[in-house]
Amino acid sequence: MKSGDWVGTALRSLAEHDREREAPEEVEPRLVAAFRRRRARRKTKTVVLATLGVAAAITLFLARPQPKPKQVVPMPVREQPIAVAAAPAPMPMPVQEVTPQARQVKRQPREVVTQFFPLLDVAPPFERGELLRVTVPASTMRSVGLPVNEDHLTDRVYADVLVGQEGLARAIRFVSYEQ
Amino acid sequence: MKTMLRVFLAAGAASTLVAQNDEVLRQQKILERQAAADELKKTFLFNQQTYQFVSGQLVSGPPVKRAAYSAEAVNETIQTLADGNRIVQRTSAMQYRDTEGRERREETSSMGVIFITDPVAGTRYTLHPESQTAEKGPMPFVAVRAGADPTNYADAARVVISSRIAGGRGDVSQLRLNLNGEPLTIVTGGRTATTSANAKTEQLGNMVIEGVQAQGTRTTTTIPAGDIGNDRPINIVDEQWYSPDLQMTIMTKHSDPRTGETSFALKNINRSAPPPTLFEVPSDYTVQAPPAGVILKKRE
Repeated sequence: MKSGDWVGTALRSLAEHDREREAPEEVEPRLVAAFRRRRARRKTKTVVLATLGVAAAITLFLARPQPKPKQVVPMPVREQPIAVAAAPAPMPMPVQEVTPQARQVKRQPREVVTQFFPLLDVAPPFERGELLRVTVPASTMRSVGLPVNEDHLTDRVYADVLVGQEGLARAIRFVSYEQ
Repeated sequence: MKTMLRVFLAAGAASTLVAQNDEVLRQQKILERQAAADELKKTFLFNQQTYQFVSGQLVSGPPVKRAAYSAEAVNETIQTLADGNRIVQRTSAMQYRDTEGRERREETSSMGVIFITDPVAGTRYTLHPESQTAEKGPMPFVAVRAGADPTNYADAARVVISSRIAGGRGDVSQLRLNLNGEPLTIVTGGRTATTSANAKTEQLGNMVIEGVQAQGTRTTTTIPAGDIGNDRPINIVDEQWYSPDLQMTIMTKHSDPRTGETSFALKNINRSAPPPTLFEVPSDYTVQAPPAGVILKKRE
């Protein structure tokens, strides 16, 4: 007989001998209670982890960088040098930028303007009128001596036009935006 | 414990939904405003030039108190072509002023906007009736006297700044503003070399216009022969009728043989105070800041 067969035979004999012996009655309920407690702890742990996960997801969603709404750039105005048409107009380039407030805002279109160019040789006194933000053909820039590429003459550009109450456009400046 | 967890989870889910809804609504509102702004880009004419309107504001001198009125402001330009043909354009706007100096101007041109300035509150509005929106901004301050502080109305007077530019360029008219908190000087005339020596002013006396007493002045400015390549002198005539009662010019005529005639007149002047509601933003309007900067499309 091999040693393995001998051990198996001995264990089976022992089991047969102890068949009538059982654990005390109080052991089973204690065992069941312990099992349930352990199971409940596991369940609670899972729910708490899931809740924390959801809370973290919500927090991340709410804290994500929001696209900033377009903020208003007030019409930029700075003290301008006096413009006389006979003076050479170097470039249609912006000569100044907007308020410091606009500079602080990221992704904010920066408004840049030229100086005001007078549109009349002899103008009646200005008493009241309107300052209008308009778009005009780029060819208008040529009328005040600013160079415009031939390919862009029909493009529309932004401008501020000062119009007197009598309906005469007195002065114009050109506006552009850059980021 | 379970109940608390459920409540917590429900609150989290609800806040997520609310945040998403807010974002969607905000984006929708921005799109609606942009669409409304696009709609407002109206085309109109000034000086035979086509402009497309985006936004604007009134610019006027110190507020005039105790001189309320309402009237129709009529502008007319007549351009006579070389063959005798004439181009006549006429626009009008309703103007109102209350006893505190608040002003309202209703454009009936294609701009279709209403301007309100309220010197009492220091604000100005541009109303867009089509989109029922109102732009709100600080009221512009205008200095109309040389050396006047543009932020101090008391220091200003109804005299347009006129100064001589060094270097023999000639006389220019300047307008000094304090616009949105920034000082600004605009040269409003004097594009070519004309000097005050070439201008003659004569008094036209008093006249009753639309029931209002007015004082007339005519200024004739001559561009001497050869100044701008002209064979003969060019006379530019400006006629102004100023009402001391209303403290404003109520009729003007500008005649320049190169561009034609431009006239302005207040019609149907009513001296009773307009209703206060005309100087307020209607309650169903959405008040917003002036249009934000728009990126110009670069041509490829």
